[in-house]
Amino acid sequence: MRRILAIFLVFLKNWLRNRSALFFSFIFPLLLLIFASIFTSERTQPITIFVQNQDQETQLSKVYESILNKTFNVEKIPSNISSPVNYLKTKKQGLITFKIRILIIPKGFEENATTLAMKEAIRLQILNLQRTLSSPYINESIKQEIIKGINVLQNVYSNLPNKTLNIKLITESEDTDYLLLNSILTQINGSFINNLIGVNATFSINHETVYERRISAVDYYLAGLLAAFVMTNGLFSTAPTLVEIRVKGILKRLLGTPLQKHEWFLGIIFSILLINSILLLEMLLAAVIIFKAKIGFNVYWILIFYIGMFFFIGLGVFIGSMVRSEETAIALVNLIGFPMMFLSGAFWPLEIMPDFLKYVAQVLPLYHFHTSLRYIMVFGDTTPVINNILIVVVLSLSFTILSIKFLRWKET
Amino acid sequence: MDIIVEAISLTKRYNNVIAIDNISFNIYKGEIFSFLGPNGSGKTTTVEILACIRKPTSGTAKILGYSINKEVNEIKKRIGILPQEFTFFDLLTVKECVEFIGKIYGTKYDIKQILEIFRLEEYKNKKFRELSGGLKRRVGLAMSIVNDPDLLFLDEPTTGLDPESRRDVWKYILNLKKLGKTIFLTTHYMEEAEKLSDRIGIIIKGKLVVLDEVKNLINNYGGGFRLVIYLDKNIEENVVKILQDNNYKFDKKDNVIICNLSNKREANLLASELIRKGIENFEMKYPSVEDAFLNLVGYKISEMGELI
Repeated sequence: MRRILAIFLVFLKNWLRNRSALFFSFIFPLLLLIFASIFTSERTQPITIFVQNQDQETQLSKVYESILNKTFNVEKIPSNISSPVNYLKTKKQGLITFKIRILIIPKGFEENATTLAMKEAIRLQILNLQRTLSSPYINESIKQEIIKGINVLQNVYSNLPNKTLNIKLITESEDTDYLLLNSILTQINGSFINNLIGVNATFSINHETVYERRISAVDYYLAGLLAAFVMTNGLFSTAPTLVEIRVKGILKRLLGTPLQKHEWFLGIIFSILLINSILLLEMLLAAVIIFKAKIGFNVYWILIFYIGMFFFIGLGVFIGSMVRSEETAIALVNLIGFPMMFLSGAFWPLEIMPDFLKYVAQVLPLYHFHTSLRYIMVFGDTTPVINNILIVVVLSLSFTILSIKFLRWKET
Repeated sequence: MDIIVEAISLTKRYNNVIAIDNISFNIYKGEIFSFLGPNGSGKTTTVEILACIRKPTSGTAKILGYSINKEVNEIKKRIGILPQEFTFFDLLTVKECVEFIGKIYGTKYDIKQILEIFRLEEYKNKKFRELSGGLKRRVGLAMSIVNDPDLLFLDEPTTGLDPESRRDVWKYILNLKKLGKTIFLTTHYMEEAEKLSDRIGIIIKGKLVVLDEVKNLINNYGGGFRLVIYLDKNIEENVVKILQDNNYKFDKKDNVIICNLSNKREANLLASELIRKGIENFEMKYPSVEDAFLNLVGYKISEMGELI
């Protein structure tokens, strides 16, 4: 135990004093988690819409603007700007975080709205009177008076000009939120006209909520990044280091002492285990404190985290025992690690990847590792990812056995 | 004399290459025993077999009475080793390096005293990678005595060091001998072997060519004393006459005459005769291990360890 502790401490000190190892083990994953979660998190801010009111002096256009303001984050474009699009494009050169969504309230909006509302009110009145004519409770003389009234109203209705509000909406061609925006605006417009003619809403929507845990950005990245960096820590802290120790003659020095192979192996394992535990802790703290991630602390995902770690340590030890030069070891772990990191879906969902890459991802061990880890972390259930878990367990067992068998602890 | 190492017919083959070929020798308590030979002669292989790092193809050895085939752990507890071109974990400090080996052995040791022996106190908090080559070897030596071993294996302890650092390391090796350690040293430096060793084994292509005490080696194979006389036009005729009159054997090459003499007394007689005749531009060359090596092997060893 004393010797295992000595090896453990030496490896740990060597790792913690290596600035680049420190950066890539602890700081880089944390930065990735923070930035990825910030830039891809679900929208909580209202949609921003730029409004140019060309009918600025009128009261109704201002009322309409205030209704928009209740739904959207309204930013005004001065009415004297002849090309609002160019105006925003100019602005966008310095500030690229918003989408071009312009709503133009045309000149004559109030006049058109008033006419439209009046005409609509008359039409409704005519319809109402026509319904009254069929009533058995109204006598003939009154009916004749109503008919006269209908005729007068129809006369007025037909003399009023046909108007539309002609509100103009300009969006970017690739704006996927266009349909949503259009639908919201249609409802706002209908409601505006109804209010104008004095019709109250005749039906309401009762809103109930149900709780359904969905995968948020931080859920996705937390598991993905944990898995990816457990992989890099496992591979990079073993393969090149073991070769370096052998090539530099450090192994020979240790072989001249009573140190045993299993003590050497366990010392290495425990140091990486602690490094990965620190990584896990800092990532969890960041996810919970900064992004309010809801992580169920059950034993299964903690188990799968450490089981997965053994696979990558085993693979790293195996590579480190088989190759002769440090350069070859670094090249090999890069060759294995980086494609796995980017193709396995650890950093982005497989859904956005081409079909053939989805199949490629599913043969990569990292895919099964981060998928099972994520699912259990988020939903606390192992059943749907049992196959992924089994793959991780089998790989870990196999490579741990291989690494124990092939770990060099003698000179031939 | 107590036998510390008893090597019996050790042979090591790597596929078709014979690294050491049926060598046998003893190392006695308290001596510095050296293997002198060029690169690839089998020095390191021998050390590694005796330190239980490699297994011999055939033959056996006893270290401190323990068999290298059966009692590996007992041997490892009692030996210290400084491997060839020693390096260690770059980011550990000097103190941590020594302490680490101490923890591996689990024996009691006085870190302060060990650092003092090798004058490493002022470097104890320096990282290993920040040390010069000579200091790194001193750290290696310090690490090799943490378990207070009876036998030390120093495999080319000064290879790659500048002459000053080399002499510095010699000083510490001689100190280890004073502390009562038995030392098996390998080297390709003639001077190092001569200055440090009690006995030298010359090893070439895995075969032990000769093994003897340093003085016997020089006396038997060093080729005797030589007087080197530097000539100018005024004295050349006179010098040749003196040598011929006294029946000395000599070689003349350019402006130098080398006179081979059978012993030190004969060399002193000739020197006195030359001085009496007013000839003073000469020097006495004593036989050395290098001469013995040249006479035995027919080659010298370069600074890089190659036969030339």
